[in-house]
Amino acid sequence: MSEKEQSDIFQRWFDLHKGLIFKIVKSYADTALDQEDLFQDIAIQVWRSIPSFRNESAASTWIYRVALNTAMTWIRHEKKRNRSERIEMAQHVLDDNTSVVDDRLAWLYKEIHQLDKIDRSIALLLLDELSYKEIATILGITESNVAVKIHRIKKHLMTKSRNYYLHGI
Amino acid sequence: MEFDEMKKIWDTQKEEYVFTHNQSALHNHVVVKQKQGLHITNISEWLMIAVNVLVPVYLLASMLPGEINISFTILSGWMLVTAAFISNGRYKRISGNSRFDRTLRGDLQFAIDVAQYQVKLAALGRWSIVPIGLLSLTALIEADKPLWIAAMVVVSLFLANYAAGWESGIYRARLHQLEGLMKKLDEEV
Repeated sequence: MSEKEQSDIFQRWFDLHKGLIFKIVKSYADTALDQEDLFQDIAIQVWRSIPSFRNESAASTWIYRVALNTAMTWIRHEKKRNRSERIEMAQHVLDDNTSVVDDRLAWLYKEIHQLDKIDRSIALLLLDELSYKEIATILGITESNVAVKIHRIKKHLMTKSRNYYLHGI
Repeated sequence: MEFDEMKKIWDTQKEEYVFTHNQSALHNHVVVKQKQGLHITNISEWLMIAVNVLVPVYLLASMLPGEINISFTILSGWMLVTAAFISNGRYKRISGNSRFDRTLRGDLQFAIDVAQYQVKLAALGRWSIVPIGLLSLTALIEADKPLWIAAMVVVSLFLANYAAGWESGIYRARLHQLEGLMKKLDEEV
């Protein structure tokens, strides 16, 4: 595959699926600087993964897999870095239009952010209406395991939502 | 709140979920990328120059009292020429830095220029492993060294080439990203 073909595919994928990348970025990174950093890592990994894509799954499934794996690796490395230094440097490189749309959406992101990294991926995929089978394929776990985790995540989020409505937290 | 309601809230972002770039922060971001690129390039250049000078000096010095190994001599010559080539590239790169103005576009073009140079430097490092490897092997055969040493050299060179390819891929991806950013800026104008 030539570099030109790779770039064209990347551009097409990015135009079609940037929304899902941004959702993953926002769920795994909290400050604007971290979001930018993670976004770059994901963009690089997606670009590098293009020659390995064999059309055996939908492009969106492939992008989810690459992006989520990158986000999970990023989180592991991120914990080792000096966070206070990075937060001081944080600037709004990416201005998020959604932050003013709905408080409940901000709450939902906050709750997703507090889940462990696998549950976070599952919550995202579930909210984006992927089937159990697709979630299992992307994360490399069994469908029954996905079902158990989904049941637990839904229960957890619904319990938390009661606090949100009762106490605004 | 039921899960279906959460889903509805989640779906509201589908149409309008976009990130927009803040110009001044974007400019800072480009400058940071540019500085990172310059820093890595500087280290790569010095490392490559040092290796391509020190190894031939050591090889030539170790041959001096005894028999001349033709392959090692050619290898030393090759490495010294490579060091000279990188030094010349470095000189040209540094003297060309003042071509760019300090606007967002100028800094972005500068960052692209540095990234393109990084890609070329990484490619040079990667493919110079081939002649260096071949000459090292012929030198080992010439010196009647055991076969396992040659095998270890081949494995090491194969690994070095793989690592260099991986590094080159990262630089190409970064270059592509910066070029994409420039394309977007052009489209906005």
